[in-house]
Amino acid sequence: MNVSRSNEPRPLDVVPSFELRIVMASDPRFLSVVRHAIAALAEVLGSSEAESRATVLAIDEALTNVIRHAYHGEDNRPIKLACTARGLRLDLRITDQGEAPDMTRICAHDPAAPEPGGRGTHVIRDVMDVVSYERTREGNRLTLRKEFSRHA
Amino acid sequence: MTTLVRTSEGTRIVDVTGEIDLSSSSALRRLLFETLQGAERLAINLAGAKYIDSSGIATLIEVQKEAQRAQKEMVLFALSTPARDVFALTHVTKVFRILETEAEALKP
Repeated sequence: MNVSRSNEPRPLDVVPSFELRIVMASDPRFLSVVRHAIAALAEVLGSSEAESRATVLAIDEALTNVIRHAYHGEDNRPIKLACTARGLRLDLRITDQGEAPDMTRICAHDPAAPEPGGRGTHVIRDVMDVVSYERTREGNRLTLRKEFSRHA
Repeated sequence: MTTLVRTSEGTRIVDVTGEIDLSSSSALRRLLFETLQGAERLAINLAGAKYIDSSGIATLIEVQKEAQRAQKEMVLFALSTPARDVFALTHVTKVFRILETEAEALKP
């Protein structure tokens, strides 16, 4: 659904903000729910459709990597997603309690090669403005940031 | 995700509709491998693909590799805008033979 936007300028002191926290099981069926939530949020923030789709893909790939690589396909492990939107900036933290990512495998393959795997981390790096992996007391944490372009 | 398998002019066509992600790509993989077994040419219609992730792209590459191994042909056609965007983002546009229409996909 398209949201019609007023042409009137927004007052300078009004900065749209939104916080979303999701705690989900590592069940791939929930990925669609997250995608639709992020897409709706990106639309409200004013991103273009193409930028929104790319961002949704990058976040989906990050969650997919948690399910496949941190939890090895187990579908009942916890994933936390904290998402904060302010202005045109989207900040995300994805936390899991699975195996730590193997940093040597991140962006290790040529994505243009006709081989099945290894594209997810390239998408995340290419689309997002900030990508940071760290190990915390809570578990593995992936921090992502996207600055959307102002869309007419 | 829903799929429909049909035959036209000797080509097996698989219409894929909806979202292809980690929850559905293994079912798509099974269907495409089964369909390829009984076909000389396989054409996959992505006009109704609202979403595809890298697991879906990986599935298509696996099927294409099997088609090449078996000396069969696999083409993709009528990519939706979301699918086209993902193919570009994942750098696989040149990995596949991608055609615009079903009529083109039916030509050997």
